[in-house]
Amino acid sequence: MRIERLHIDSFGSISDFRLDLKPGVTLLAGDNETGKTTLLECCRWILFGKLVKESIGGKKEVLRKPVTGGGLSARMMVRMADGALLDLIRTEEQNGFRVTDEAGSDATARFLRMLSFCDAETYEKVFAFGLDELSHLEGQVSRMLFSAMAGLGGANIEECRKVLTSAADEIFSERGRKGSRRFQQILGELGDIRDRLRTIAQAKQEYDDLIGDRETLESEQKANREDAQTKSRGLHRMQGDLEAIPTCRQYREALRELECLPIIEGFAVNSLDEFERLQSEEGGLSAKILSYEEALRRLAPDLVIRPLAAEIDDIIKRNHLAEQQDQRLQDIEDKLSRLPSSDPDQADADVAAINEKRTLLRELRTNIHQRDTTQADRTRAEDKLELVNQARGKPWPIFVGVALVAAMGILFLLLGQMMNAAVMLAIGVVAAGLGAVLRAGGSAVSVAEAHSDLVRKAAEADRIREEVNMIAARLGIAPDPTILDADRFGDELEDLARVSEEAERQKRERKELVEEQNRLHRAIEGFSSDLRSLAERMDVPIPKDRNAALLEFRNRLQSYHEAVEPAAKFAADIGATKDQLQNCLQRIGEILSQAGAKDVDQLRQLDEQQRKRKEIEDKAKAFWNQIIGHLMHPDDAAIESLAGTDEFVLGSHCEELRRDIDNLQNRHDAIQGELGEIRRRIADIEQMGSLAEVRSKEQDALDRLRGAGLEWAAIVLALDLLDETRKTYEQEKQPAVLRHAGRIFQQITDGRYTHVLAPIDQNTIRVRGADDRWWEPTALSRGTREQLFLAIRFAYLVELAATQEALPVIMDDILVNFDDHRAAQCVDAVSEISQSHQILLMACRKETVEMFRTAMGTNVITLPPVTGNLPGEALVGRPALEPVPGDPAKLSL
Amino acid sequence: MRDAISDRISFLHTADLHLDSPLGLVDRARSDLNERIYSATFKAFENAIQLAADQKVDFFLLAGDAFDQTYSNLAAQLSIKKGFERLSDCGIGAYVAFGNHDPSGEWLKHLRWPESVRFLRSDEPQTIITDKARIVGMSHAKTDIRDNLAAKFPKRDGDLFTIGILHCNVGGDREHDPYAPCDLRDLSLDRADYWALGHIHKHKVLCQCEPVVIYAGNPQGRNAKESGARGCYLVEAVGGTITPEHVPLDVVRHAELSVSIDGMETLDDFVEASVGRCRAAAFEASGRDLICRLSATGSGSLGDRLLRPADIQTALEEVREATRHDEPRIWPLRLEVKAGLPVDRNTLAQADTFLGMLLQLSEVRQGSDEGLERIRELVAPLYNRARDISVLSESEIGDLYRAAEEQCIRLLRETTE
Repeated sequence: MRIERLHIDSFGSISDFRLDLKPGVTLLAGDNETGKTTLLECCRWILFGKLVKESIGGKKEVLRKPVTGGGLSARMMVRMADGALLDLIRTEEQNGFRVTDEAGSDATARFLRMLSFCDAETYEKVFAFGLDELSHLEGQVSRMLFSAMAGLGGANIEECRKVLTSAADEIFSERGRKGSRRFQQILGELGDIRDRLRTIAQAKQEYDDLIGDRETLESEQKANREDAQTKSRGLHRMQGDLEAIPTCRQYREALRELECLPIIEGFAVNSLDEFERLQSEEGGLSAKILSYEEALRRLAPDLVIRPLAAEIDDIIKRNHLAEQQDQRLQDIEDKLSRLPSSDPDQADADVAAINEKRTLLRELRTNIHQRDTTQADRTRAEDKLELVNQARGKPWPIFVGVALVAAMGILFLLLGQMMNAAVMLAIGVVAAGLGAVLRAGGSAVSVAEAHSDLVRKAAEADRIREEVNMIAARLGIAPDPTILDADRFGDELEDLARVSEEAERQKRERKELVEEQNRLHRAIEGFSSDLRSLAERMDVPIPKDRNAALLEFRNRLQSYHEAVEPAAKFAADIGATKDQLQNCLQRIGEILSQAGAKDVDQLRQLDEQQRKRKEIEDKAKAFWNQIIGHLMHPDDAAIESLAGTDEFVLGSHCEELRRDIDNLQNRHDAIQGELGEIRRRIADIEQMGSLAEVRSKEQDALDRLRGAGLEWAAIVLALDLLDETRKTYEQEKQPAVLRHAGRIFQQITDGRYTHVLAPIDQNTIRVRGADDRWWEPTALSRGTREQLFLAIRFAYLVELAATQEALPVIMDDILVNFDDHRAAQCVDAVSEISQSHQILLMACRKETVEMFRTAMGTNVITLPPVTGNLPGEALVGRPALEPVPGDPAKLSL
Repeated sequence: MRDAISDRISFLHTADLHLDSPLGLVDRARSDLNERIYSATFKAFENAIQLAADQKVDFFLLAGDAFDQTYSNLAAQLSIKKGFERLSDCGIGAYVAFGNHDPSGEWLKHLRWPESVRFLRSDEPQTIITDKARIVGMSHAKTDIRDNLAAKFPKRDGDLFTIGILHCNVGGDREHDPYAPCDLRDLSLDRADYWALGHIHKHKVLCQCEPVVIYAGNPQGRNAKESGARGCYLVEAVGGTITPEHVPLDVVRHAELSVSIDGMETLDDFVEASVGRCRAAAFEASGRDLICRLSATGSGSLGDRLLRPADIQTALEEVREATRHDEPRIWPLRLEVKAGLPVDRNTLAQADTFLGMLLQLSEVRQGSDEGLERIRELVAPLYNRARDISVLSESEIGDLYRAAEEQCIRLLRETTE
């Protein structure tokens, strides 16, 4: 590729500048500040867009902003190796690079592909360099020399390395910030997960410890509880003892007092009271007896009749009966006087006559009945006989039958049934005849029977009538059969019956009355006799009047009865009271003897003594009750022992025990709290749940870690393979470049140095002198070192041109440190390069310009000095100093 | 089988409860799911207790590894205590032998256990005679028992039905730790009629008769390797016949699902296929919740995208979102990419280019000790910092080379373009 025309619109101090270039070497001559370096930089910019350069101190600065203001803009017309003419336009804007071919089509991609073997830096170091770049080839050697010529048809190993390195660094880097790498991040995550697992494991360990602690504390708690219970019981007992001590002492005192007051056997507590009560009771009873006896004496006269009292009472009662008997006798005499007959025999005869008449009358009545019956039978027999005789003389039934049959016959005739009429008429005639015959025979038999019956009945009737008449005659009644009606005797018979009964009754009554009358007389006589006898015995004058006697009897009897009850009562009361008195006296005697007292005074003394004893006993009992409230197993020994115990000592024992119990309680509470905490913590840990999720995370992190490791390892391996392959490649390809460089260097140094070598593993080069000694570039003088680097560049350019597009080479004042001889040798080398590459040289010294002009007839273009020669003044609008070769019409920039 | 076994005996054989094990991290937003998954091991154990109670078994056997971690896990201890209390209430005795995860120790005494629970001794085999059977078992005293415990079991004495309980590795199963190793010959009929074993998490019948030897497996699978139905054995012995029946108890199933990206153009295609695979697996889990690990396999244009971690995460999130409301619940736990680039590595390796040289170098390194050493050297800075991740295994190193090559191919191709 060679530049045919350069047109700079605005770049640094240059604006609207145009330059046409020929093939081969062109030298731009100019003083300082005539824009030589700016032109160099502009060419780099157009081809690679590089606007930044590294200065010596590693500082980066932005290049060449237009001094006239506005954006950078430049254009270049290049002829490619294949003959194509391309127009390159670059502006400062984004995507501000465009390439068009002669046909005006976009050839940007094609151009960039062609340039891909080289990047901006390589171009700067190898193709377009000034004095600064010339002396800094070391350190770039491997990359510069070999990467771009790996023989891959354009493949960029450096690019591959960059991609791989970046990918590897994204995962893991030994250098760099640890946190930002994926691998480190996963390790961090894993660390967190492990921490969590450790926490869980610690929790489990804690759990196990807590279980142990819980058991220890629980058993301690149990022991404490038992201890506290035992001590509480002891304290309780001791407190009871303490409280019981005064009572025990009082009890003991009471017992001692009791010992001085002996018990009197049989002495009742209330003996004295009873004694006194009995004494007063005795007086009362005696008085009561006397009063009863006096009353009894007053009643004595009334009681004299005691043996006759029943008899008097009987007489009084019988008197009443006697009066009734007197009355009854009077009544009987009245009744007897009123009776009709005084003769009993006559009365009996009257009754017999009446009874006979009654018998005859009853017989008459019966016969009259029979007479009437038989007479009626006779009349009926006569009637029957007459009826039979009448029926035999009358033939009317036959006529009726014949007439009926004849009527039927006429009816049939009228209806025209002649045959039937004739039959009916015949039947009528036969029937009439048959009837007449039957009627005559029957009537003859009946008449004979009725006649015989009549004869029998008439005889019977006659016999009965005779008897009736006979009886009626005996009774003196007319025997007219028609008058003698049976019913007429009914009333007469009843009257007779009544008269007969009345007569019978009166007879009986009389008999009874007479018997009673006799009995009453006897009774009254007996009563009177008894009355008299009694009056005599009662020393009562016999009274004429029975009633007067009885009045006296009654009075006496009443007085007696009124006195009997009180007297009996007094007598009984006297008996009872005497018994009581007896008992009372007996009891008094007993009391004295039981108490062993002679008299009441001594009894009183004893009573007082026993009363006191009782009081003390009661007190002792009350003390005892108090004591058993305090002591569980009270006995005399215990009480005696307690009574003698020092309360202060026992109290301090109690206090000590109470403190122990309090301590135990405090410990119990503390353990309880601790246990609660432990149980809560145990429950919390048990709730922590499963590990599956955390362990899944751990597993996942491990998988990712392993995956990242493998990914990284694959990249690192790929890088290693690339580098290793490149080394091999370098070993096989490098000698050609270096041999060429050695030759050029030998030529420039006029044989002082013979070989150039780039060891594989060291990013440096070494040279061999004519004396076979090897030199590091740093050991060479500056000029010689620059000559070495120039030789390497030239060798590389030539080698590269074998496979790649030969880019224009631009060198800015590179010969300043060369001596004249070596500078001349260098011009030869440039001449050699110019066979394959377009060369653009910049120089400010006239010797240099002349050297090139004389040595190789180099086309020299002199850049005129800028007016005023001030920094930043633009190199404006100056046309090329020399006419442009070729057809100007083709270069219409 | 001996004729002397005449009574009917029934019991439940469980092992490897690994209570409170992690089953995988669930997004906090899936509140409907995370509690169920975190409590799955507990729930499976409760199911075992419920089964024992429902079936009114004679006893309950636990052949080790009740806990995943013995000492720190209180929740697991309380849970197992509660379960045993329930059994005690039902009049069912429990016989527990400890394994390598829960060797018998101090922790036992911190809890008050029902009297019906018997923890077997760890110093020598312990024999317990019940009214129906003789139970012989032994616990692990520490986490890494290397002795043959089965060989210590006494010869049977008499005709009583005998059950051996042991947590052991029979026949040197390489996928499990070689604790209490023994041979099937050690688990002989003259020691027990039924061997109730624990340690291997996949349930299997090692011997069907004379004697019956069974690994109960764990009642709840814990990761993608423990997929499929998990449960316990309900065993009935009547007369001379022992009938073991595997009863699933798990509440969450695991599945490892691979989705091929062959022919896929977009990430949406991949998400759609993944959701389909998840749902099919959920259907197979018979109504249980499903945790699945997805892996993208095959090769295709999608391979480039799936090499980017951000795209992998996006795809996983989209699968999660799509299955968010599914019932039974689905939780896509992880997405791994095993898919390759749509280029032929061997062709690239044969070319005389920088990439060709690189691939050739990679090949040489993979086959050499120096290559192995080199990679260990390279990763040392990271692996030295993280003790939690183990040293790289050979297969991981192989994967690393593959991944590194893919990175280089992708990048060099990208920068070339």
